[in-house]
Amino acid sequence: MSKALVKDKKLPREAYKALEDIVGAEYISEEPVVLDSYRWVWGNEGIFGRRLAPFRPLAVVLPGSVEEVSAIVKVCNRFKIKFRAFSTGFETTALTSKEPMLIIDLKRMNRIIFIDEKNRIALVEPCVSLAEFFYECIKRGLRFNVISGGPSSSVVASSACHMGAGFQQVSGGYQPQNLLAVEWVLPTGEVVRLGSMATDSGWFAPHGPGLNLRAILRGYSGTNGGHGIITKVAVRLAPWFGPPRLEVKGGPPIYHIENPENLKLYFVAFPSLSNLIEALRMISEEQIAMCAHKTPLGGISLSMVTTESNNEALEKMERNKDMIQKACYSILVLLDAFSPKELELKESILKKILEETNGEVIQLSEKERSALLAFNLIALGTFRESFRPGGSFLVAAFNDSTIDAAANTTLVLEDILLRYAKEGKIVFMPGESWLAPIAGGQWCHVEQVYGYDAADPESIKAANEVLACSIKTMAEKKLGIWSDSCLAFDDSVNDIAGPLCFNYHRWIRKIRKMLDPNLVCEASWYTAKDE
Amino acid sequence: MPLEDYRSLIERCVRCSHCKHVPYVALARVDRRFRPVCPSNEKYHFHSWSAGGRTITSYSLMIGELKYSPKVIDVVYQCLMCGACDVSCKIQMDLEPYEVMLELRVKCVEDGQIPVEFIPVIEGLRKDDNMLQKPKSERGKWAEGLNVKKLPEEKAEVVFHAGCRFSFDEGLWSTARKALTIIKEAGVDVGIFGVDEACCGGRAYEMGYQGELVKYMDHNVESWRNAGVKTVVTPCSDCYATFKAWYSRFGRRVQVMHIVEYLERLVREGTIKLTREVPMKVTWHDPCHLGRRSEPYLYSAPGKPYITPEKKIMGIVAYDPPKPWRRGAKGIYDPPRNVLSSIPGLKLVEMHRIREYAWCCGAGGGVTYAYPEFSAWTAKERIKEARAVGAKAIVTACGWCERNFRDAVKDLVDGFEVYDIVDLVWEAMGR
Repeated sequence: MSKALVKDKKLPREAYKALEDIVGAEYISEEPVVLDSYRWVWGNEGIFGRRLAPFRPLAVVLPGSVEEVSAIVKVCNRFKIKFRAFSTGFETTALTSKEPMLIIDLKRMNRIIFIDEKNRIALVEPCVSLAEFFYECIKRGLRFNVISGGPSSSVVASSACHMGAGFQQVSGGYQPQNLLAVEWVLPTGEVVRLGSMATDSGWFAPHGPGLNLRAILRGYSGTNGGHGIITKVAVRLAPWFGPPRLEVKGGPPIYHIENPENLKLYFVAFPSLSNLIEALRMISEEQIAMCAHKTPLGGISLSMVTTESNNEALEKMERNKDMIQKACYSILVLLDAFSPKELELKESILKKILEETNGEVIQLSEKERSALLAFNLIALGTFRESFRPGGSFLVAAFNDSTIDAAANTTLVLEDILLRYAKEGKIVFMPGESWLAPIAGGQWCHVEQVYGYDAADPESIKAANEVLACSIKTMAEKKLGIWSDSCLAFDDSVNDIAGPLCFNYHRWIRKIRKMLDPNLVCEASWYTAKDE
Repeated sequence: MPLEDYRSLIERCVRCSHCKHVPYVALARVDRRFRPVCPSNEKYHFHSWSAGGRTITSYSLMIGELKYSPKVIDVVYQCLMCGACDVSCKIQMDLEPYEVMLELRVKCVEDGQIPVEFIPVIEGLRKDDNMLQKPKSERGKWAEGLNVKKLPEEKAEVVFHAGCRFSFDEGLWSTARKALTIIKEAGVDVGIFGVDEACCGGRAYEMGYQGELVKYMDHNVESWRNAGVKTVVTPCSDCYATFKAWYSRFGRRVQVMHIVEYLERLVREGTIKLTREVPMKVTWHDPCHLGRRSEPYLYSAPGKPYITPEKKIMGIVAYDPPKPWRRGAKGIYDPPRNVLSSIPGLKLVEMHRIREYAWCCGAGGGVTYAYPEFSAWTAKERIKEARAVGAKAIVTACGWCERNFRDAVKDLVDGFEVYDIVDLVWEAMGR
C-alpha cells in the first residue's frame, strides 16, 4: 500500500544557519526539488510501497572535510537533529529512514590520499568508488576487492559501514578484514582514529598500537550509519598481476577488454551442485584463482550480463537453452599469475580439479568473455542481472557460513522462490544462488538473488512475501541467521534473530546508546529501538 | 507524448549515479580527474542536477508532490541536454533518462514554466526563424559573392544548410564559406536557401518547444522536396542531429551528411588533396550532436513515447516488438579523426573524455540563454582538459561549440586556439 506524502518538517532556522555557516550556502539545501532526489532509492518500494519515501529529508548538506563533518555532527547534537551520512549513495541503507533526517552527502570528500605500494595499503575518503580505486591501484600492481554492489559502490562504505561481498574475495580476503586504521567522527562529533592511527603510528594496522574498535565500528554486517561517520579508511590491497592499464576498445554498452596477460577466465559447468561445490572447495584450497565463485544468478547472469538489453537476453535464453541450463550450475574462475609459466601451472591444476569434479569448460564468445571479465574485475554487469530485468531485486538466503551449509540454505529456500517465479511475479531460475568462497575457502558467502518489477505493485508484494517467508524458514530450520541488515529495515530482522542469538540486539542497543547519548544517528538499518 | 507514458521506466531508476560518470569500463582509459561526465552535476553538486535526479523530479511533479518553483526550473534547465548521462545509464539498464528529461521540458513549456530568458529567444525564432534574435533578412549574408545556386528559385541535388549560428555569427562566416567552396569545387550540384533558409528547430525542441520542431521539420522537408534536394549537407552539428535524429523521431527520414563526413569522402577519394603542412598539436572535441546525439531513431513513434509495449516473460520486462536502443555508439566519431590524421604535420592528441562520453562544450539545452555562467564554466572545463593533454588548439565541427570555446579562451594569456575542422582542411589544401 503506497503511503502518501506527510507534511514537510523543517530544520529550526538557527540550526540551518549554523550548518550553512559551516559549509557555505552553495553546499546546503532544503529546497523540495533537491530533497526529493534524496528520498528515492531502490528498495523503498518494498518498505513504503513506492520509490519516493513518504517524507522529505530535513535538508541536505555537503561537507568538504572531516572538520566540517565534525562541526555538522555537533550542530546535530545541539539541536537534536537526526542525521545519516552516505557516500556514493547507491543503497537503500544510505537513504531510507524511518523519519525525516539531515542527509550528509559526502560527495566532495573523494580523495585517494595515498597508495603505499611497498606496504600494500591505501588511504581513501568516502566518495571514492570501487571502480576508480581499482584503476588507480592496478597502475601500481595492486588491487582491492570490488563488491557485488558494483563499480559505483564506495570503498569506505563497503569496508567500514556495510555488508558487502565480492568476486575477488577468494584471493583478496573478506572486505571487513581488509579494513585497517580508520578516521571516525563519533555520533557526538568527536574525531577519533582507530588502530595504528590511534597512536599516530601510521595507517597500517587495525589492531594498534592503539585502540581497536573494529568490531563495534562495523561488527559483522555494518552499522549503516548507526554509529557516526567514517571519513577516512586505510585498506589492505592484494597483488595484481595484470597490466597497469586495461586495454579497452569498442563502444557501449559492452566494451571490449583485451585479455590481460597473466589472467585467464574460465566459465565451467557441472552436472550437479555437489560437483560444483567440490570444485569450488578445491580451487579455494589450492589458492590458484583471483576469482572463483558460483555464477551468481546462473542462467540469468549469463544471459543478462553478456547482452545489451532484456530483449536480447530473452532471445539468448531461447536460442541457447542448453548453455543457459548449464549455467545454472556453473562457476566463474579467473586465474592470475606472476608469469606465463605460473599461469600454465595454475591452469594444469585447474584442469585436474575439473577432471575430478566433472567440470565442463564452456567456450565463450569474445563479447561474453569481455562482459564476464568486466563483471569479475569491477562488478560491471551486476546491475544487468539484478536490476535490469525489472528495476529491483531482493535476496532470499544471505549468509556467510561453511560452503555446505550455505549451499544447503539455498536448496531449502529454492522451492519458495520457484513457486513465485512460475507465476511470473519474480525473476528466478532453478539453481540460482551465488556461492563465493572467502580466502582459503573455510568460509563461503551466499546470496540468493531474485529480481522483481519495481513498477508493478503485484511484483513488489510477491517479492516481500518471498523475503518474509525466507527469513521465517531460515529461523525455523536453524539455517543460520539472516545476517545482512541491508534488507532489515527498522529492526525487523533483529527482533527475529536476536532472541535466537544471545539477544545480541540488546547489546548493540546498549553500545549505541553509549556512543550516541542523544540518539542523533538515524539507525534504522542498525538498530533504531531504544532499550 | 506525455511524461506519464514513461512512468514505469521512471520507477525503475535505481539511483545508482552511473549517469554522472564516464562509463565504468571506459573509465579504464580516463585519468581520474576527468571521470565526471555530467557538467550539471559537477557544477551544482546535488543529486537533483543529474539525470537520475531529474527523473525523480519528473516523478514527483507527475504525482503532484512537487510544485513548480524557481528552483525546480533551475534544476530542469541547468542541464545542457548533452546526453552523456544517457550513454552511461544504458550501459546496464533498459531506461530512457534523456527522453524523460526532454519530456519533462516539454511539460514545463506546456505548463508555462520556463526561464524568462527563453521568451525573447522563442519570440525571435517565431518572428525571424532563427535562434540568435537576428533579422531574417540578414540570413544569407554569409554567402555573398560565392556565386552559388539559390534555392528554391533554382534546383540542386545537394543543399548546404548553414544553420542559425553559421548564418548570423560573423566570426564563423569564413568557415561556412570555405565549406561551401570545397563542396562546390568538388563538382557537386549544390545550392543554398540563403535568406530563405529556416532554423532546424532542434535547439528549440531541446528547450522543450516540441511544436517548433514539428513546424520547422515540416517546412524544411517540404522546401527541400520542392527544390529537388536529395541530400542535406551542414557544417552545424546541432542541425545535423536534428535532421538525422529528431526528424526521424517524428517520422521524417532525411538524407543528411555533416561536412566532416563529406570532407572525409573527398579526401579518401582524392578529390581534395591535403598537401600543405599544418604543424600543430591539436585535440578533437566530439560535439554531442555529431556524436552520441546524432544516432537516428530506428523506428518512428510520432506523438508516442520511444518505447514499444511492455511484455513480461519469466518476470523479465521486455518490449514487443523489440525496441532498437540508442546508446550513442553510432555517432560520427571516426570521420573527423581520419580527416585530421590526413593533414601533414598535424599531431592529433586525444582528450580523456572522447567519443560517446565526451564532455560537452556548454552551449546546449538553452543554457547559453538562461545560465551563461554555467555555459562558460563548462567550456572552460573542456579547455582545461585539452590543455592537460598538451594540445595547443581544440578542433571541432559545430558553430555552437566553436563560439563557446572562443569565448572561453579569450582571456587566456598564453594563447590557445579554436578551429573548425574545415579551416584546417582549407589550410592543408594550400588555400
